[in-house]
Amino acid sequence: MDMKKKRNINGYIISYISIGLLFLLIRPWAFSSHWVSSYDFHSLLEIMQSFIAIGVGIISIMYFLVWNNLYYLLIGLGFSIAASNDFIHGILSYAPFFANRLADFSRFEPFTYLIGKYFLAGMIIAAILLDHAKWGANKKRIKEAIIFPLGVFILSGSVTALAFFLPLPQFIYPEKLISRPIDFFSAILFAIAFVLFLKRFLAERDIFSGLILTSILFNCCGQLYISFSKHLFDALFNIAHLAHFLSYLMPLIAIPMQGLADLNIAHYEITQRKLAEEELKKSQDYLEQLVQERTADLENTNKQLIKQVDTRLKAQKNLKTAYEKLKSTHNQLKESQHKLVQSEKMSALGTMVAGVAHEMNNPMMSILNYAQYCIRHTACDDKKYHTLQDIESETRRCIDVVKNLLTFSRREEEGEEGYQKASCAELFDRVLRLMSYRIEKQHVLIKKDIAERLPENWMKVNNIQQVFFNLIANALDAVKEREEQEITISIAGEGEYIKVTVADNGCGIDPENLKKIFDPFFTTKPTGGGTGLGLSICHTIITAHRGKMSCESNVGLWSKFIILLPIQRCKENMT
Amino acid sequence: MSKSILVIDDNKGIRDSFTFALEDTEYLVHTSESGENGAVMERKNKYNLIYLDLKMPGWDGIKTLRELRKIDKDVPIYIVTAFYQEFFNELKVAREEGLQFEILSKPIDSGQILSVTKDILEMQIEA
Repeated sequence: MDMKKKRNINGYIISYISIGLLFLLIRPWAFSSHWVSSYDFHSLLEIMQSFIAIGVGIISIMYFLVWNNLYYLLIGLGFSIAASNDFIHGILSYAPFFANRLADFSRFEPFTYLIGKYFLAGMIIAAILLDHAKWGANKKRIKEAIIFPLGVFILSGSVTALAFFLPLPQFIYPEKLISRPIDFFSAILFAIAFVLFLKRFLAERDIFSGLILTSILFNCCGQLYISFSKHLFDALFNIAHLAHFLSYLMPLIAIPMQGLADLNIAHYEITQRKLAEEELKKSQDYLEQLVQERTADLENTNKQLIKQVDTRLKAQKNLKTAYEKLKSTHNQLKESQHKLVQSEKMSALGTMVAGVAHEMNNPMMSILNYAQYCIRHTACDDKKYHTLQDIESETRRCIDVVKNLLTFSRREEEGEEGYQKASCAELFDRVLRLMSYRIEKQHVLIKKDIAERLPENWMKVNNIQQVFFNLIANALDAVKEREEQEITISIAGEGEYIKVTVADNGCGIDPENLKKIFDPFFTTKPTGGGTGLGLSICHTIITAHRGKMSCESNVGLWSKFIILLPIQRCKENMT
Repeated sequence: MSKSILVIDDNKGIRDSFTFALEDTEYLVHTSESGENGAVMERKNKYNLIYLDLKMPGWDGIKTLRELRKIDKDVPIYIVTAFYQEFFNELKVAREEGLQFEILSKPIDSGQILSVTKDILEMQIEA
């Protein structure tokens, strides 16, 4: 309906007014023409409008079938039935057909005409009111939509049929101004219908309403004309019939025109829909394009992201590697720092130890000599004699400790002198001879694996001898608890070094202790058993010789001390 | 005439060590607690052997050595010290200057004192 409103219908309104004016122009012609006032003209109009009525009925039913609105059906049926009523009226009034009976029914004849008019006015009012109540759109009311007008038709038909037998009151009062008052009353009904339909027309502004409105106007005018008709078939009487003819013509035009308009609207709607669909498709396409673009963008971004992630991962990897390197460097640094601190500590300690040791040399020498003096002046059977001997031996032990401390602190014999060429194998023989008493007492088997024609080493003989002595002494301690005690000494050349290995099948060294084994004052021997300086001194001596000393062990099975002693001594490298 | 020995050491224990170690020999042992006094005694007595300490208040061993060599450049002088390292450079210089001396490292016991002394003094007899 909104679409209908949009249509410009001013043209239609102008044409309605033109038809109305044309109709008014007919009037002077009708009064002057003899033919218009004839009896035949009336009958012709009545029959013609009956045919029109059938057309209106058929079209309205079709229209209803297409648009499914009972409103159209009601209007159509109203017109067609009213017109069919006129058909009966026309036949009845046709003189040649009922010529001999016309006089008998002269009073009844206008009455049939009246019933048609009242029926039509009533139907239009009913249709408007029902449509106003939104009844028309309900298809289920189709029975009522047919039965109601049919019922009214049958009722009016029955009244008409009764009129054949019953005498009817006088309708025409030629002496009065309004000669046919009942017709005038029907004109008022049409006027009411006109007002009601005008409201609808103004609301809808469609062709159908416009034409029906015109039709009602014609009916109203026709009834007004006939109200003033003084006798049958006069000019007013026939013009009224002409108006009725036109009034029936109007819906016959109105319904197909409205149909066309509706089709047009439908077409318009379809076009609009198509346009909208196209728009939709366009926007869809645009959207799709957008989506594609966005997807492409996203893919691009995704690729970039993946690249970035790759880069990040690589960077992370690099970072990790760098971190690992840094960590290991840090560890090395820490280790060397630790060593530095350790060596600094040891240096400080060495200085102090050296000072103390030197200072102690004088008193110890004094004590030793006092003790010896006393021993010499004491009889062997004197009970002080052994005590004095103990003093002497303990003092010697003190002297040994001090000597060891001095070696450890590297204060002793630090100079270049003292180095000479010596054979490690010979040194070992000497050490073993010195310790032969202990070796034999402990029943230790000494195995020797000494390579032939080994060069001699540059060394401080006393120091290296002390190292070998310490190693053998330690090995002897280690194998003490074994049933089959074995110490293996092997000497072999290894590049610029002589490799000396002292292995034993003793108790082994705990991995925990293995780390600290060359630390000064570290010992696992019971208190009084060792100073914890032996291996530390060995290590110091070997290091001073630019050699290397290491230890391997398997707890409970064996221990192995390995010394790499350089054959040639490089003075520049010495500190 | 028995041979005489001079021991110069600020430490009484060391002086006693030499005295006691050599008490049963025919050697005459004199002691001095300082280098200055030792030089005076050497000038007076002309010893056959001098044991000299290095680290002493007043004149140290090196100074005393120089003074002693001024008096007698042939007498055997044995430097008995625990501080050989400390005076290493000075000793080296002294030796390069032609000053004669030997070194004994402290501590030494009675036996060593006896044997060293005997070795030196008996060699003198042979010579």
